[in-house]
Amino acid sequence: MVETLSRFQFAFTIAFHFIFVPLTVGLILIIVLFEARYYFKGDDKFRRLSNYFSDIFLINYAFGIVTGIAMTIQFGTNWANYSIAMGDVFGSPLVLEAIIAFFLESTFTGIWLFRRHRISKRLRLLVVSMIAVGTTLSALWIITANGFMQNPVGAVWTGEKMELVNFAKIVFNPYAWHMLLHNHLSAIILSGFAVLAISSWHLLKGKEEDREVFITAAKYAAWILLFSSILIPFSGSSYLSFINGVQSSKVAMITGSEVGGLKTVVRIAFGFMVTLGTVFIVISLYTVIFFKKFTVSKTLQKIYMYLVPLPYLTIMAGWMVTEMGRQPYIIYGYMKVSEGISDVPVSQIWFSVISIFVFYALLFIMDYALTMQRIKKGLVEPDGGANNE
Amino acid sequence: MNDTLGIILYFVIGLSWTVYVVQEMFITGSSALNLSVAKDDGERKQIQVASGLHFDGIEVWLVGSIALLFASFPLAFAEIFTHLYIPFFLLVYALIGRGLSIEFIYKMESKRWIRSMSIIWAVSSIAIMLILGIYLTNIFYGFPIGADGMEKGFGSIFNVTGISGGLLFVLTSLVAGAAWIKLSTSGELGDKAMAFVKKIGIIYTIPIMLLLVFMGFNNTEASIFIGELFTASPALFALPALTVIFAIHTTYYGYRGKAASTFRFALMTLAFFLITGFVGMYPYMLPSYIDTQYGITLFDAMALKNSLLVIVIAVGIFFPIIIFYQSWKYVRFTKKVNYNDE
Repeated sequence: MVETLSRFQFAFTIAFHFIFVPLTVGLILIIVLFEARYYFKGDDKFRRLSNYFSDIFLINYAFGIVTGIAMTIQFGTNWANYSIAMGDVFGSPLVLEAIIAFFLESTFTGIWLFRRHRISKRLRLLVVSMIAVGTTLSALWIITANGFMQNPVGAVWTGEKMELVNFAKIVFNPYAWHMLLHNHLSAIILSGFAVLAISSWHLLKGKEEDREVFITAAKYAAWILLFSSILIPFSGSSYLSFINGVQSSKVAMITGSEVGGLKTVVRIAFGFMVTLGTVFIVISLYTVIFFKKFTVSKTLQKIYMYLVPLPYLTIMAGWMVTEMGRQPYIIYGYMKVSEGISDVPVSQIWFSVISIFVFYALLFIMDYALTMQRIKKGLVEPDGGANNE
Repeated sequence: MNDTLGIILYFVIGLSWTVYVVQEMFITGSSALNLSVAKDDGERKQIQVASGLHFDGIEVWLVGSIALLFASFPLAFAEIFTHLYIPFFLLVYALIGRGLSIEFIYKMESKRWIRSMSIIWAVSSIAIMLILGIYLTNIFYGFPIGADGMEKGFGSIFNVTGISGGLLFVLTSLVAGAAWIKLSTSGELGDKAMAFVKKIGIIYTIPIMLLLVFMGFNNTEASIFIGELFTASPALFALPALTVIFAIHTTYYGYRGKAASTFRFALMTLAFFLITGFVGMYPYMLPSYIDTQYGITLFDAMALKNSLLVIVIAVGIFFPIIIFYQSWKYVRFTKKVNYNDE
């Protein structure tokens, strides 16, 4: 029971955390692009776009941060035996993530959230760039840790414990780099869809004077979407051929040569991801080619508004392939998930599972309500606090 | 070599906790006061804008302290987080509540939303300090560790010393928070905050709580005052003595209404409290008050040389950088927050 509940809790909390992560990771890169255009061209349109999408970024960033703290704590509360066995190897990327990435992004989002209307153009660009560097480095380090669990290199297994031998090998683990690239591209695709959908909403229902600005945003999103969705199959196929050499059982599940239970789920999730990935290429090509039509067609705009869940589902499917595909291992080939759990009374885990479930349901409603109402408020200028900015 | 790295990281974790707590205390303290001293949303927003700027960058010191414990002393991390399973989840909920309320209180226009967010903001801020105070005080006080591990459930942390420690953290934070409001906002808000902590007597409780905790420490087998370092060099007793002196100064300057000095001494009180604790319990990560031999020392818990080396190098490079840009941020944004600033 302890194992089942702990598995459920981790799957639930990480999936919930990952609602917010890809949007922030991708959106901040788009914001940097807008902010750079504003800095170099001085076009005020881009400042307004950057401010607008920053509000949406900041809402989701805050939810990402707080649900991320729950992840860190759980290594100790629910996965104590894993932590003891893996502390030597898993701990250092986590420390590096905290001190290199978290500090950078958190220090500068504070400025972005509470002072961005009162700083110079140059400082604005510096602040958003620091946040972008922070979020990217944060992804790098946590994926380094995950990459080790998928493909353990640079350490030796003593039978009880992983011992670090070569830290450079852990950092340059090809598994992690494949994953990072694939993950970042998918985050950019998702953010492209989000920007396109939000712009569509404004073209449909927003203020007339904002039209031109959101057509620009949609154009950027469409091109970003096109590049990233064309690149992602290349990253995916080289990732897969690498996995072929190191995780044969995962590949067997993907190809369907091993079936039953979770294995079938992996196969279906993989098929789902690849199919939608292909659909994304078609959609983005269509958008770029018929962009003029998009700006006037209400039907197209309405369709784009409802496409946003697709990239989220695709990303979830991708992670299901990655994580279910390595079962029953927590460290591939060495340690099973069942060996990693904590020695905690089951009643306490019930407490956390139930309370998290209720709490996160509230958070989801909050995030949705906050994001939606911010989207609909449109472009606003600071007005001495009256607008509650 | 191995031991040296472990000892360095033991004190790095102590430092990281200290840097975290001395900053978090004025953020949570000012947040908790929002209900009592802000007469309207304009004033509440002054507190939000002053504290919101820094809270996220400060909270990372907590995540950093936990990650450092995980990486450097995995055994201690696993042991304590499993034992305090429920308190840590409560801490997470408090952190979530505070993080979201401080950022989103004014992101919706409904009066009910603003009202509930301001309550969540105050309550979660107090909860953070209470839980951290109880946790850290118990770390210094010791745990019921016997030959076969923990002999009691997590309820044992709610002993008199632990609770006094929790209250010490909360009350000192309120005083530091009041002084922070005075220092970082314009208008009459700051004076009201300083008057509030004086009028209801919070400033007088700090030395009393501190003495209760110190007396509690002395009541156990694991007393930090008979620990390795205090026994070896009695000069270290200057640390607890200074803590008491700073606590009395906090009261004195709070009484005189001098915000800058109150602020400084309130921060120093908790800083020296933590330094005293970490020095006193050395070399234990988790002392046992049943019998000291069952305590978990840093040498029992530490990771192996290669891992410790990576962490020491990373900390050596990045802590100075972090301290540099976070200090820059304090200096760059010293301007007081006005009524109706965004």
